[in-house]
Amino acid sequence: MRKWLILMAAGALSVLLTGCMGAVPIDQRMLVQAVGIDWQEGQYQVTLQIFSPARKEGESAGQEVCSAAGEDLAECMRGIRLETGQELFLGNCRLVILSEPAASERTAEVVDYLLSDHELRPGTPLYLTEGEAAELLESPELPAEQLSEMMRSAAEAGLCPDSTLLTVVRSLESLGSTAALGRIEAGEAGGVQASGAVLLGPVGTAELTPEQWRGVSYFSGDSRQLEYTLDYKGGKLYTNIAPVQSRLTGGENPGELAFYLSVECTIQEYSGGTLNWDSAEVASVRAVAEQAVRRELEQGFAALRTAGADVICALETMEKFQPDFCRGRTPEAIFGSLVLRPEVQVNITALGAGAQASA
Amino acid sequence: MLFDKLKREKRHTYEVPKRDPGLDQPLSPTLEDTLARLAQLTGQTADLQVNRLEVEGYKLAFVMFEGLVNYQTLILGTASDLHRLLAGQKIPSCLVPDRLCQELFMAGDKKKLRSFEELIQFIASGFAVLLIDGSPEGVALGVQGFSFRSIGEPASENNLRGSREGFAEPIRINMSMIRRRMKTPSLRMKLLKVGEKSRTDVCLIYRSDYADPEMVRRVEQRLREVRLDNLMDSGYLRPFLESGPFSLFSGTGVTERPDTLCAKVSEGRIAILVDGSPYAILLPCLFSENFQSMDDYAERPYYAVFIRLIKYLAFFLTILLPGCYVAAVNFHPELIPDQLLFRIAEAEQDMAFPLMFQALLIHFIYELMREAGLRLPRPVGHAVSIIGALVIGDAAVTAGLISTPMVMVVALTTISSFVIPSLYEPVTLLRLLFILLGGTLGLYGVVLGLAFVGVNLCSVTVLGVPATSPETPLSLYSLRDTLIRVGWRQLGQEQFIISRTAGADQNGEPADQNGEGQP
Amino acid sequence: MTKNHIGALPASALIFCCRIFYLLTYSPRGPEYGGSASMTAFLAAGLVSIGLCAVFWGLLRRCGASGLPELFHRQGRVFAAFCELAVLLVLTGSALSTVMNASGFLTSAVYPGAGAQITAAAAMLVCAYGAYSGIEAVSRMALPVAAVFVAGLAVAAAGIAREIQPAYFTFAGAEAVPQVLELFFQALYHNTEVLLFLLLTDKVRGAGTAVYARGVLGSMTFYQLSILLVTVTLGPFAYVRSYPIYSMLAAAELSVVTRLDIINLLVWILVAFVRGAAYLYCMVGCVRRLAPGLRRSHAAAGVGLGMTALAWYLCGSLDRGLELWELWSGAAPFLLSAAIILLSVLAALAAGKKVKSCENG
Repeated sequence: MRKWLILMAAGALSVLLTGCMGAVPIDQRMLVQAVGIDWQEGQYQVTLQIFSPARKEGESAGQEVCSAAGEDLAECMRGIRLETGQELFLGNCRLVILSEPAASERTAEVVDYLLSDHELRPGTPLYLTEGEAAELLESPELPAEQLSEMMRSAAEAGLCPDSTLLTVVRSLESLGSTAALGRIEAGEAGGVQASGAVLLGPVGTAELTPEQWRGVSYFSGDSRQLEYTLDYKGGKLYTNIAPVQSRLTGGENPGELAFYLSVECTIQEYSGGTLNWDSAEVASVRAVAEQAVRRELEQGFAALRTAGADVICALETMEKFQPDFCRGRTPEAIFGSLVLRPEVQVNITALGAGAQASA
Repeated sequence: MLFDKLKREKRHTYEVPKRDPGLDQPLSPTLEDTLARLAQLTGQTADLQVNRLEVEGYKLAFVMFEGLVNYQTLILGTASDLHRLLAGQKIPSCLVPDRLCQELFMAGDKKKLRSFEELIQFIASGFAVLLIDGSPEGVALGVQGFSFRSIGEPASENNLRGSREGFAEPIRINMSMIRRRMKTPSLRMKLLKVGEKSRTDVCLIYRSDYADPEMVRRVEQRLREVRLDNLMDSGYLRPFLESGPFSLFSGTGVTERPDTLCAKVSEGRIAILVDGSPYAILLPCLFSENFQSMDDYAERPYYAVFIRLIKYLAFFLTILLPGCYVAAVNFHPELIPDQLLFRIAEAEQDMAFPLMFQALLIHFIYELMREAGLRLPRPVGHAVSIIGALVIGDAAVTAGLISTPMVMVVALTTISSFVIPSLYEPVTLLRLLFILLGGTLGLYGVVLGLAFVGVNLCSVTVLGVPATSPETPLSLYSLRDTLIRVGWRQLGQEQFIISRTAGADQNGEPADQNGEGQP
Repeated sequence: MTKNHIGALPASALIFCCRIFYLLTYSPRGPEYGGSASMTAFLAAGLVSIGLCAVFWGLLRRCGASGLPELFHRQGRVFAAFCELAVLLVLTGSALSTVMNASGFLTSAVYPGAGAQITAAAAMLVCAYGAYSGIEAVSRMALPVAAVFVAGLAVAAAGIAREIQPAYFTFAGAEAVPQVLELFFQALYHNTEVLLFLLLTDKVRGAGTAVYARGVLGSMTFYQLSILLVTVTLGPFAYVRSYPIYSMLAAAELSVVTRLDIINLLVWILVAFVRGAAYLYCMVGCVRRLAPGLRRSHAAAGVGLGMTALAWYLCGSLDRGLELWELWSGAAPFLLSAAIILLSVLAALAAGKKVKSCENG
């Protein structure tokens, strides 16, 4: 009998404990899909794109935008919370967009604030936009889902870095203190497109075109498969190129870096007619692919050196890729007067219809 | 003060079971005295039949309860034999019972009796008792002819393949079904009587070559120590056979199938049949056996493994899904994929009740309907299922009482609970427990609840055998028939003996919960 | 002598779970502490604790005792009471630090709006139930909890594999020796499992250093793997997080599951339960030996409610909790445990010599 009384008391107590752990009903949460942060004249402006459920039958769900300004991010979020009367929920945030001024001056603070929210995934994409983040998010043609998918595809194609809160904070905390953010810019036919990267260093920023960024990716040891469209004999050769092996060593002369890169090339299609796939043709294609990769590599390396950022900008890249080479050497010694001598080897593994040829 | 009041009420309303008085008296040599005493003991009950007759100068009386005896066998067989046996040289009345026991052929079972307790026991069991004037002994003749339900398909343990026979109510029928399946001389059946008033027949079944003798002794001792007035079903005995602190899970199993019982007895377990109940008790019972069925052993191993894994998944689904759903939506929406979360948010925005209340409400409605469907007559029971579908599936959602995702959660939960019917009782309560914990403490509460349930399950030990064996304490070799099922070529080579499983106390003594004596 | 109820494998799993507890709040606290420095320190601390257990167990066997309680009670009631109270103090601190550590993590990282007192009290009550169920049930529970931990780590590794950067792992050079030593002593002082094990040896079948060593080596192996995984995935980001393993799991992704931090929650609460229940069980044993007439259920209820009240009080203010944590992070519990064991062994040996000299003389 005593046992049952204790059990009943425990059951009653558990009901009374409702709310003691900070439960928030789902209909009182604001489901944030995208966060845009602008920085102007010493003030933040935070714009949130939130999920708006269908209120009536026949209506479809959409998104709403709300924003607030303040001296720091916490004040902005508090303002939005007071305005809407709902708790912000960042757990399903698809992307965070910074304007250029916010990125160049406030990235570390923004990332610290966002990562302090335990609901926000560290893998949330973080991008930079050339205009205002608020303008981008307020556009009804660009829901957060579409925007994030577009940037993800661009990152997979190697046109911009796959920058997330985690990768950015890791880079900022490392010795080089340099992070690369994907860039969004206005497209030719309206809309937006991914457009290379922006390097954020301790003393400045550097903009990289998509080709320069791909070169930097090779240099930093990224092993993603990238799509290439090569001009060949009046037509277009559509290929996939993936790095297989790379090696960086000191060159024969002081100040020289010898960089060896081996890639695999898969040919998808050729739009200029029919090719006779003999060994001469394969060698010719290989030469074209090698030239394209080498050009991007050199452009990327040059951008690292000359785009206005300090030599330390590139140290993070070097550290990840060749830590043994970098250990014990100062950044100046690594990059001071380096000349890159890339050696690229292309291995063609497939020819569209499945025929195999190896060089 | 409350407890004193409860004690007073208990003393006033309840009585401790006691033996019937006057039963130990021996039969009187005088027939009339015996009959008079019998009438007094039974209170002149209307169904007691006494047929007096005189055969070859001997005054006899047949005593029986109406409707329990096969009159044809009694009259045509036994009665006619009496003339043959009692004719000729007169023997003293006191020797007549011996003669009848030795030479009477028509009755299958003949026993001598001396006391009123035995007399009432036999006639209540369908025997006809012959009393002889001048002898203090009677002869009980096995001419039972009472009606009983014929052997049919087991109601609660359906199989696709395998036997369609299930136990019936009479214990003798059930004993014969087992004996017919196990033609080994090591099969033992020991009859006991349990219940101060009901004196119900209880049969202990085991194999002497596999069962641990100490286990058998302890079970028999526990049965003898049972203090019940009436034993109407095997379920009454289960609490007496288990030991240790309260647990949601039982260390004893039940079965309605003779093939299952034989298989379990062959693993060294002890089975208990109760007269009047088609459910036999098996002990000790491991937790993993709730996920086994006879079909597993008739199917190919790969399919059996798949089905077992489905059952384990179903178990966790049925107890955890509603609680985890409530916890995730209220406390951890970041764990839910985006698109699903948006759907849930849309569905929940106009609901009248919070999520935890919705979960409790719908489960309560479901249990109501389930109970109603069980108790109602069959023709009306179909209507209940239609009403249930309409009430829950449509009207409640339209009225804004519960949301569509919650309906899906409950549907999946209840279907999962049907996959393991033997665990229906604990999972029903656990489900509610986890809903409460998930709604109040989030996933933290759910995991604390899991810890509580886990240790509760791990504390179950019956006859020295841990219920969680062979998973923990781990016995890798024995896992071949728990999580997976190896083929019969391997399984058939060796026989699993329950008393030797991992963690079982080799001495057969109970492994005490804390090793420091009884509380 | 009581009956042996716990198999060797469940006992090892129990030690494993007790020791793995502090891994889940591992924090490198700076680049020079991360990577190989931590791994070296924890491995060394584990090996030293195995050595200590071997020494203490050898001494116990030399005195002819099967467990520590037996040794306490050989020297009379006063000595036994003193030792039991000292042991009770150590166990109280360890159980409290377990529950409060768990509560601190939950209210910091997972439930920012939650009350620390509620979380601590709920955990303590469930641990008390575990203690009431008996060490046999708790040790049986430890085995699947250990399996869940291993499986969770494997899933986490699969989910975070894409973030692995081997360059983040560096071998500590000679300059890291002071940090390694500091970590080594901290890891050693966290270890009151030697005392726990010696209190339970009379209930473990085949008890000996091998049982303890298996648990410690198992936990050390997964310590190394976990620290390595955190280091190579989070890199310098790990140094600025209070709970880097939790952050790592939040960044992990597997198919439709976009974060795996629930693994941390699941594993850690189960591990905390096993550890807390084991310590509370030993406390119940101490209390019953101090008051032999006390029923087991009453002792368990008293210990459970008392510890719940204490946890409630200490979690009411961050200062009180921090005071306990700072005290228990130091050498106090470890040294006290060692002192109790050595004192009782020495007393038993001395008593043994006295008996022999009386017999000879």
